[in-house]
Amino acid sequence: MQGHLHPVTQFFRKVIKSFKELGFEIVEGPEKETEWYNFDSLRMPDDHPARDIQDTFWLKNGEVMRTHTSASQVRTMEKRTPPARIVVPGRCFRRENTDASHEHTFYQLEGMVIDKNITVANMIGTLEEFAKKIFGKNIKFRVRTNLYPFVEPGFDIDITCTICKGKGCNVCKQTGWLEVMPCGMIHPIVLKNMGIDPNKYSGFAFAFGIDRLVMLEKGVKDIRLFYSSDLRFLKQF
Amino acid sequence: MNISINWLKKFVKFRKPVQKLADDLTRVGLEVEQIQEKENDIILKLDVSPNRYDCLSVLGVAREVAMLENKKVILKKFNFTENKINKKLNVEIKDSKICSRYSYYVIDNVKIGKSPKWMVQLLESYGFRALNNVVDITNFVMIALGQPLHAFDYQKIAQNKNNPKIIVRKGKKGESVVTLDNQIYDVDENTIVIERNGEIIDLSGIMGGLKSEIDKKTKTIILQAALFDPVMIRQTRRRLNHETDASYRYERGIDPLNNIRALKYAAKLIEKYAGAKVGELNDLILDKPKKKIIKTSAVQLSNYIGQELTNQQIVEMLSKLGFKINIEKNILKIKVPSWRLRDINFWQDISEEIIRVYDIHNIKLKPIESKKTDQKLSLWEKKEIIKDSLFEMGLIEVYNYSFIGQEDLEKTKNEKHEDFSKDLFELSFPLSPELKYLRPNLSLSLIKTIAKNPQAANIEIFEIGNVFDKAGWSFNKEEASEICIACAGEKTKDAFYYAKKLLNDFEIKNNDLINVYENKSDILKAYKIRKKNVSIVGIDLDKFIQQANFSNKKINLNSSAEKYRDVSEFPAIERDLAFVVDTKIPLSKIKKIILQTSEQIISADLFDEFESVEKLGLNKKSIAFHITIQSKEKTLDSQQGQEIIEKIIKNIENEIHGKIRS
Repeated sequence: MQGHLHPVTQFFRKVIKSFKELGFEIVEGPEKETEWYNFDSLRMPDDHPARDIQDTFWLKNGEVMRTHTSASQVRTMEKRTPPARIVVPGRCFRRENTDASHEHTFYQLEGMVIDKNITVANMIGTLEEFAKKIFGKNIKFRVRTNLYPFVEPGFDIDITCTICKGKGCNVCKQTGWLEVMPCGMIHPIVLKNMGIDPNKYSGFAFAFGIDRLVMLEKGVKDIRLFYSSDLRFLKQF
Repeated sequence: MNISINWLKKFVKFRKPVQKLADDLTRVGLEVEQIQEKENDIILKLDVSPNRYDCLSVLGVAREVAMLENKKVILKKFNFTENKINKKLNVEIKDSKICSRYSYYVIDNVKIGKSPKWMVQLLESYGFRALNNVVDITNFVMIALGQPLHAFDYQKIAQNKNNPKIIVRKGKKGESVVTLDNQIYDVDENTIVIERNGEIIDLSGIMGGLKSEIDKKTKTIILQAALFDPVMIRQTRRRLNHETDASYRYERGIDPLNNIRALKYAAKLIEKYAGAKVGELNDLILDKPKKKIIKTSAVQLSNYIGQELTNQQIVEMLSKLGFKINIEKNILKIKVPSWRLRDINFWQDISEEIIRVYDIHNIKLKPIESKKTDQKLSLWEKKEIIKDSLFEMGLIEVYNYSFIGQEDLEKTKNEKHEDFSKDLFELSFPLSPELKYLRPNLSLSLIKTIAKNPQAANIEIFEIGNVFDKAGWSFNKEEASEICIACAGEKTKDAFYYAKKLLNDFEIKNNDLINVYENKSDILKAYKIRKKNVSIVGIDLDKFIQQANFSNKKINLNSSAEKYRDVSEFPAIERDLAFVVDTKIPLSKIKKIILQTSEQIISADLFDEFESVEKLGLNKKSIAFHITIQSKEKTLDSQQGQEIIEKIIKNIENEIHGKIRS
């Protein structure tokens, strides 16, 4: 019989390849995480509203199913010294009811660059170049300031909707834009939590939601199909 | 947060078209999610992130617009007469940490009635239900200026005493309060409350108490503008699951130098619309906000942003946002405005403010240069190479949830582990009982996959994923990774065969790594699996990688170019077709021709390919596909299926001179 790899697997390979060419190391972290790595070390303490951004699967023992691959930021850098270029692919979980565009299980690719004199201009430049590789040279960008407590400043990079080419459709909620890449300069407190001196080093971090990008690329309209193990679906890739 | 454009224009003059303004606000961090056209107004729906609590008011958004438009915010003085009235109130605050400032007016001669129509309409567009002039005005001012206000009925608190007293304090276990929505809430030591005569009359910062509610007969009110501790409000709001517009703002933070302005604005409106007489201002300041000065330099900021900036540029930009800057020997001493105190703490925060004003799109971008890497394979790459090996064998990769349910445990119960649920990690609040535990191995996931695919006659699948159990009884770890292979159906091989082949591919001699899962007939029956030859095996990924030889192995980076076609509920027709074609013609081209023949061809899977000069002739190969035909709208009969098959044969003949092999 003919073998098939899951479309998310295939997409990860494509994305990670272009980061590997830039010299990124590929690292993984646990899916079951401590509150410290998933939240507190990333400046999302329990007593601050920033914690509410993500709905969380808590375990009875007080641990969490990681809500983002950013949970691996501090964990990974504790064992390393800069300069570092790292990507972390992985499965994440949010306590959300599922429908065609929401899943409680999904994949992210986290990235980090830490070195002397890393700038905002480096970050946006690198990520735009990467997005062109994946979505095509003619893609347009919009960069918005947004809050991610573990970065400062924090941004969202949007691209023109690949479905309607910016005219506005259901996929982009009529805005003409798709939010594809949250990113930002790693917060000095987070650098300290990694054991890195923020006066010597700076760095940026970013993350992609992989499932949604595969949906755009392959024209999959229901995110739940990825975890349905419906062989009629999987055989198409 | 909704913003009325008409209201906004009372705080800042601008001419920019609304769509353009919305784009700019989105860029600087106030994402406009929707622009709603009303009869005489336009409403912007803003998504305000928790750190931008300063924008939870029309005034706050006006400040951002003023920055974008290079304008000044218009702040009116609220003129009215303060009178001597003989109704007094004594306020005691137990702890400055829970309430740093408590300001209030006693307002007499209040005539409770309806609010003016314009105010009712405005409040309704913000989702507030109009109640009466006093309550409506407190809501109106909160939206305008961001400070939550509350009005108490003075008589209900005083109960005919001359100098009534209230105490602002922490709650105690065992106490409770009935709030305006007629609900009883328990209080604890993390709750801020107001007490009168030993009785709690206010769930402070969240909702007022029913006992001091404003009603038609109210004649005298206490109008309160207080500063409460955000962390305590958050804890209580979460514990009681009781979010209000006031708690939402308190929890995020409010401008500590804005409460008097709000109090005066509301008092003036109550004087005007309820014909009232406002008493003298009472302002208890227990703790003043500390000045916050951030030291940095143009060099530091320029190096971080990657854009050369001068002192003058920085001062100009930050001034637009209300920062006050002193420069001493090239050190910038930046004073944070009172409405940003909770959010701005580091010089890196200042860099964000600069980028918001400067516009990130004006910065010259500089991608990082590529670097040589360690050629050693990462764990992730090794995992992908293993997947490739299984893929080459013809297996299909599946992804299943990491969660299983109580029912799964019962269905797969065996003598050895009568109730092994105690060894499993359990979610505190699962979405459903089927997603209650973390999966201890992948065999359960693959049994479920087999059960979910009754339409497939023969199933050969694998999954590589993480598994969890407290005791570590399968993998000696709380969280481990497993390679799992499952086969089911008459024409399938045993999963053990593939596992063995996988070990061979990586030169592992030791078959002990393969764990054969027993599939007793009652388990299969419980999952309604009727297929024959069900076999499942698992391999500990860590151990596999330790023993495997990965030299000269690389990830296959060819990904399928196929677009997805919807899976249909109607039965599919499956046919095998073999063609003889020129060896030079790539597989992908043949596959493309087949798929393009009809929308109803769901898949074309290669299952056999060989060359033979004797049988096929020189430079010829035989290539065989398993073809699935299915309609989204109806059940196809065999004749319709045959027509499509004939079309495929014709297309292959016409386009690449391929011949069908019978």
